[in-house]
Amino acid sequence: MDTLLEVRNLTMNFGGLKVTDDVSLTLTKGCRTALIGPNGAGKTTLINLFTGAYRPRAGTIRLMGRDITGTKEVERVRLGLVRSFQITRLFADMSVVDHVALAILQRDGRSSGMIRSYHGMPEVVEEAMDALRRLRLDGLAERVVSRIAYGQQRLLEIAIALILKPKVLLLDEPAAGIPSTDIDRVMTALDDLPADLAVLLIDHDMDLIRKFARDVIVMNAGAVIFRGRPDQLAGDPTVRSAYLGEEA
Amino acid sequence: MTAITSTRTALPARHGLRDAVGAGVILAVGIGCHYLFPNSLSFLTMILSVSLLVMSLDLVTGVSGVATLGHAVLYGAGAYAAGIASVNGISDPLLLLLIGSLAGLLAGIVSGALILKGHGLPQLVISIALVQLGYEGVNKASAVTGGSDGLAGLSIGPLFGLYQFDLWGRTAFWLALAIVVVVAVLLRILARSPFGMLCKGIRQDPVRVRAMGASSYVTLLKMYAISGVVAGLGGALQAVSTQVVGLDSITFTASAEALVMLIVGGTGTIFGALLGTFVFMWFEHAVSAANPFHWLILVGILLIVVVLFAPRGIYGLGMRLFERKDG
Repeated sequence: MDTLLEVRNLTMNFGGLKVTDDVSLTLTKGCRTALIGPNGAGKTTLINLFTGAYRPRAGTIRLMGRDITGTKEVERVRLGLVRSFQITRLFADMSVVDHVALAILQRDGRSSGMIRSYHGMPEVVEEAMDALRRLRLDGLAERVVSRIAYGQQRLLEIAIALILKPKVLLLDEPAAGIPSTDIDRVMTALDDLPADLAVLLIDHDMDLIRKFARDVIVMNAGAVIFRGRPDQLAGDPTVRSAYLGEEA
Repeated sequence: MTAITSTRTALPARHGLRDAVGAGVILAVGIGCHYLFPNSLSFLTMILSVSLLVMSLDLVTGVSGVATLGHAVLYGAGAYAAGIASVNGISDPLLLLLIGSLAGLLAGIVSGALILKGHGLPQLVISIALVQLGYEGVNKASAVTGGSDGLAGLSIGPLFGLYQFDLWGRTAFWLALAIVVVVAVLLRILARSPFGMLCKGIRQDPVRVRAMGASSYVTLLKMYAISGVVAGLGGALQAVSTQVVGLDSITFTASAEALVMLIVGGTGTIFGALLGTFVFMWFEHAVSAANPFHWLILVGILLIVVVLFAPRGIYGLGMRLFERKDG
């Protein structure tokens, strides 16, 4: 088992509130791990700690054996730790293919070029169009993102994350807000993720999690309270009480 | 269907064509003005100098989304650097323009480093503070800058050693026109480049840009430095062409007016900045001559009409009509 991301005793407070409470976990090569928990359990905070948007109060984060606890957000992306966002974050007046091309240029360290536009770089255009084709977005390539459907924007988010060639991919509710008729396309996209990529998926949709995840982490009140196979979830008393309240 | 066709503009051939047409139009209008208004050449040169300030502002505000009301500090840096150099014996006009650009570069890096530390309203306040500090600094250092009297009677040598800066301002006008055409096209290319795209991305969502692995601070600082070169060049051009440098080149008012011109013309397109400068300054000039008492009211009305009926500026409105016809 190759460990890609290893987190030890991660702790984080917002004022007096412990939002991350001594979390330790590992993500291995090729893992398909789901992270669930009731609202306010600290899932998104944990992602923000992984990516470097927040600094932990205590604990360490290692990526491929390297301590990245103090590493800057952008540097972590370059090292292969990439996230998608719960709320779509795109450039409203850029086209679909612009987004992917910009991500390619950034990944290859060519985004500081000040003369040639990417339209004159056939290899960039080709790679961007290939990536869009895989998610069946190629027909919309020249469309401005504010003029495509929400579900398609979510797929574009995944396309951008993947083109950065991550080692570890953190997906924050990739299916949030997508109409049920389009959810299959997201499922297909998730099925087609590179086999050796480590994926951590946050979601509430149990159908999606059962289909996608091979193991599940449950958080409550900032702490990890369960890790196991999806089919073990229903029988676990701590998980039940976390979701249904103590008296259940 | 216009909505879809208007988004299908991302073709390199079309970009090149637009740049060429734009450069052609600037040249044609410039040459036309030269023959139609031979007595207003110094005013036209002034418009061209200020347009460099407004294009420079477009880089940081229109393209990259940085709010600033102090951009004239970069223009003033260029004007005073060229002026001081000239007083101290440097007379070659191109060398003076280079000195002004370098001063602009330096001022761009320093003010960018400070302004980019803030966001939104604090950012605006820092920019105003910088231009006020610049103004006061120049005012107090009167031994070098001439203080409130400014620097007058700069002696500028002939361009390429051949063309004197004559009383009619012909040499200055052609020099300014050539500089503006070249700079406008270069900045259009810059705005389309990967670096320009990254800046546009930061304007729209800096969090997304960071998640792609790009540092927004470093990227914007580079853009600020480039913007400083362009504004400094504009200031130096004004110094060389008028042979006077005054405190009015480094005021809050000049900064705010530059922003108004940018919005009148349209943000983020460079050509819009140029058009806005031309329309605003020309209108102000014509109206103040025709009605010296109520001209400011008319300028105010122009601004309200433009903002209400052409929110993307005159250039944006023109492009929309053009594309509709096209599709």
